[in-house]
Amino acid sequence: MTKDATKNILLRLDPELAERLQTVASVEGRSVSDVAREAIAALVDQRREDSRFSQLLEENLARHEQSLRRLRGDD
Amino acid sequence: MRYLGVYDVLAVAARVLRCDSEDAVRRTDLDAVERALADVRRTSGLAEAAGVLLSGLIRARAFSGANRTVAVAVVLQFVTLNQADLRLEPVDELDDLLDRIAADETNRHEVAGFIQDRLEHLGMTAAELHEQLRLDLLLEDEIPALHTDWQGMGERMFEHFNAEARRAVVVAQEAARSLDHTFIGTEHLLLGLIEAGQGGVAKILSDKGIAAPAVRDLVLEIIGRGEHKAPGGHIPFTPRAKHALEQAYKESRRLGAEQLGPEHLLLALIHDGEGVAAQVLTRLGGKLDELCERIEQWIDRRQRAESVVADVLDDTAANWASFGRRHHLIAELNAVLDENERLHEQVARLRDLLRKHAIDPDS
Repeated sequence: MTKDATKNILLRLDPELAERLQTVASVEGRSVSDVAREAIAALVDQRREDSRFSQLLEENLARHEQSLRRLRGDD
Repeated sequence: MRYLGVYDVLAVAARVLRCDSEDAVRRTDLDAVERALADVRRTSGLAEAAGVLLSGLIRARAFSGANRTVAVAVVLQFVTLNQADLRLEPVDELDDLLDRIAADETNRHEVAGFIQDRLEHLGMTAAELHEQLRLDLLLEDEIPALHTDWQGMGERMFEHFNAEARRAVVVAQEAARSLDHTFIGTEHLLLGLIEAGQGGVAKILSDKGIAAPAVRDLVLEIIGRGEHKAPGGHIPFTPRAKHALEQAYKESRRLGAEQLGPEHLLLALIHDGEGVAAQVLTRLGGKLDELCERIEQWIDRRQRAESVVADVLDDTAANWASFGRRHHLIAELNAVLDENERLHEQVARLRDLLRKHAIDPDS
């Protein structure tokens, strides 16, 4: 992925959570951003596993597939 | 109204961009998404909410790569979750609107009007009807099992629960199972109240921005998913959840209700203070005292509505026809009071807005 395709993460965290994040990042020798991104991704994975949500999404994309394809790009 | 959370939006982005969740996080401006979602909660009506969501995502160019497609897909998911569909054709007109949104050449009313014209409200689908019937059948199976939990207490407490409260308890069990939890805690009872409820309690929580996806995410953050799939059949309550149910019963008695309803259950969850449900409510809804006050106001208003209707009807005609009429009148009166309250809230918001712009609303 190109650098341009990456958005900065700006998170409002409560101090306790921020401290925990900092601790994990220090122990694992990674940036806080990396750890936060991984944690968010895990929660997104859980949402994607929600069968009702996913089914609704698939139905939506199938129903509007042609229209969505024809939307102009804005990137 | 059912609101989207940031993880819902990211899940849609990941699917549309055909990437994994971590890539979707990298390619999304989370702050822009959160701002758009927060703005949605300050709207009234599905068309306006969908318009604000669309405008927020398009203007901020929240998604790298196919921003327009992802933003529209997110809005589609939002309206579908709220029992509606959005007609995208003719696509040229939609593209023109999106161009104007991106160039900041349109306003909230125009976008809401555009969406309103293309919004199609859906009835209940066969699958949803099936789900509803399945829950009703489950309810029939579960209530006797739930009774056993109260043996030794001298009475069958669930007989005092009204239909909505019973339904919330059954949905709580479903929620526990969906998270692979082998117990029903206060957090599941809260999810049950939100997911099963369509009345005043659900509305109070929704007005405070407390929605099922956010609650579920916080529950997962606080206690995580179970290690093994929950077994079929009856799932037991935790001691704290049992205590909350007992307190709910006491609340209903204290407030002079004939039956225990979702409102008493919610009050008990709040008063519990230290349970997971109370923690979740604090983190999502802010001040528990205000929430309590709001619930008690709602209970008081409903009791007054019932009292007014009882006075109007002839007490001596206690038959099924008058029972049906009374029920209908109470529902109508509550609907009018709800609408009145909604209008008052809108006026209060407008007054705040005027003050923010240094305009005296009373001048």
